[in-house]
Amino acid sequence: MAAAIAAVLIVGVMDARADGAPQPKTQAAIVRDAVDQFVLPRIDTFKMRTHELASAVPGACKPDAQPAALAAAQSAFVETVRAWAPLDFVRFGPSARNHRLERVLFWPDPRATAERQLSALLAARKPELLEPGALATQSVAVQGLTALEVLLFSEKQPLGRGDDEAARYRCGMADAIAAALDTVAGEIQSGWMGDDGYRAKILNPGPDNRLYRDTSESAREIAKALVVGFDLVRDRIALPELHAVSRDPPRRARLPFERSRATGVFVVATVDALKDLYGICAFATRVGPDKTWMTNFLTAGWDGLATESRRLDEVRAGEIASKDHLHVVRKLRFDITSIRQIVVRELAANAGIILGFNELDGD
Amino acid sequence: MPASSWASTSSMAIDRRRFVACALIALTAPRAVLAAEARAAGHESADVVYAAAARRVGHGYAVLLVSGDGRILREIPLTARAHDIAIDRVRRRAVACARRPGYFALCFGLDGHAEPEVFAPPQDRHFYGHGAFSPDGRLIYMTEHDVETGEGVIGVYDTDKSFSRIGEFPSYGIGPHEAILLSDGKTLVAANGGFGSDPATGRESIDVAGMEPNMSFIDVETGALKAQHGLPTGINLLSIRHLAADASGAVWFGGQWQGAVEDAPELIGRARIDRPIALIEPGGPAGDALRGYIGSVAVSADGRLLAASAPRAGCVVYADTETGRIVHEVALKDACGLADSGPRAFAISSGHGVVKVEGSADGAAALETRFPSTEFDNHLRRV
Repeated sequence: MAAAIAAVLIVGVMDARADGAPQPKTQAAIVRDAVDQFVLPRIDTFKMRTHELASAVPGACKPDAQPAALAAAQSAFVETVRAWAPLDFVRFGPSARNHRLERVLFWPDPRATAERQLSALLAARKPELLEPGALATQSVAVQGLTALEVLLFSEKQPLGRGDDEAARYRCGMADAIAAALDTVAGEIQSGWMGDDGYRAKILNPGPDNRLYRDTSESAREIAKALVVGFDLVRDRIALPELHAVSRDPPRRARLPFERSRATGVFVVATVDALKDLYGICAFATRVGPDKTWMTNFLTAGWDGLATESRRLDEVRAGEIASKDHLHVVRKLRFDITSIRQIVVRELAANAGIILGFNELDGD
Repeated sequence: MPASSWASTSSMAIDRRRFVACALIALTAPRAVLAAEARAAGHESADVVYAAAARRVGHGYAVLLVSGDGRILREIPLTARAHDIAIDRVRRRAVACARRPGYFALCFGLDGHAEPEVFAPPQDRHFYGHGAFSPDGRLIYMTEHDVETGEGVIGVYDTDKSFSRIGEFPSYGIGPHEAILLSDGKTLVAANGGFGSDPATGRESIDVAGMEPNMSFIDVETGALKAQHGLPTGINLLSIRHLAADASGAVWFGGQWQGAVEDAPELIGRARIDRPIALIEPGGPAGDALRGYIGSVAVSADGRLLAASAPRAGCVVYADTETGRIVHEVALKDACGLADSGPRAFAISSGHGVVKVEGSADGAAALETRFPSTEFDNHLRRV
């Protein structure tokens, strides 16, 4: 125990100086801090938001519900989106099991599978599907945020309006989806806990650990999550938008959470979370002495990402393919790609975290 | 500082024509020089030359012809990342296939004489990164994605007519990745990975939970399905991706597990046209130890050994093709490309620029060569 305390103290000394300047972290400290300061607090927040959502949705369907109740449920939905964004790129551990990632967010969905399958369920009106847990046996496309957004933000059939059987079933389905989300959030949360939970596994690598044989493997897992986040911003947001606006004539891309007008919320929360994780990993301290230009370049890149993500909704709402629109999307792609490249090839590598070409993005 | 201008280009999906133009321009200058170097290096008669797609640090993507003793015999620059190289041994040509979602394929002569040719899929298709020549080299079968329907397609291109697309037939599944032609010259086996991707969202997988991977045996003359073997529901997240046939005619596959690593089953299996898929016998490194991902597979020249690379685990495992058991394991970081290199030998390439020629499973000495500033992509082919 004494040795463990001493080790913690030594790590602490390495992590921060008296003047507050960030210091490089050991790989073990990167993993520990990423788990305890990034992943777990955000899972707790997500669980709290899904609980609030599951409480708010039934309120919109009460017989005497006021429009404010639907607005409250919609607001709870947007906050759940905001809370999920930082976890969407943590694609290991309990989130990766039992299709939980897709059960929370079914995306990409180029053929509107979620809406089509949801429509079929609404048409069939099977009462047994509204029983607790029953939705978990259905397609993942109808279990999460993608399907709930269709119900909560329908302009043609606002949730809670009407008292016919179809309207009541829509309400029942919305309740069931919100409850299913809360269940999945609880499973993710509990999967990290306990002696046999994922936190214990990733923080205790060793020869008997089937998932992480040494610290380099667990540190690679953290760094890969960061890279996955960069790739998701590029592939889900920047590239589809560029693809659409560059067509002749320019078109509107279909991005996640457009119906709830939470696309910007999702992108901003993702970008901010990536910067938080980057900071927790202390990668900025790993700029090599011969490449000091990177420090200012990275600062400008992160600042750019913050700006562009916050302007995305505004430029998308304006004239399609306008100068501003193209500027924001192209710059978003440039900044995310540049930072990714530097993290993989320089900063992570300088921290001893080697991300192989094929390991990282094989096919 | 990164060289590209952030305002310069749009997405690859819409840059098909521009790419083709750039690729041809890039090829024009070095071709004659490279051909001379290849001849000077004895490439035409050498039997230890390999082809691979690669990223050259500071110089972008390329196709490389390399010798086992560490020389780059030829370098063909590309403006985008390629994946596999299909070899036409009759006419001494090769086709580098763009990786998923791919919009180009580049044919080049192995001896540096022929004019390179670039071809592309139709507007509503993209390549998956693999192709297979017909025995006489007149046709090449490319794995493709029908973007509108999401279905897998085998595109047929006539190599004598500037690689014009002369037809297609279904791959009988979603997400066909590698396809190989069996020794009868008439049966194509397609590894339908089970999920597709939307070109608009790059490489993100669509509907992984609904995956139904399979191996489809297809008559290339009629396009008819001769046999199809899938996986049980419990392991439907095992994407069947890479293939190799052994001496007995069994077709081996290496898979990529799309679920949590701790839930990964065995990743290697085999089937025959008349026999369903059987996973490899337990006892070697299990799916979780291989980190859920086999990057490529190859069979030794005598057909008795299968090699399967696991880049995330940093190793290659060898299996006896008769017993179906793992018999040997070799450690190499980011190992991925595999090519037979003799009766019981393999060459292994890595993302860290290493080519290792491994004697055999019996522990013969290995020759390991490092290519500076080079990251080899998924596949390695003996030329």
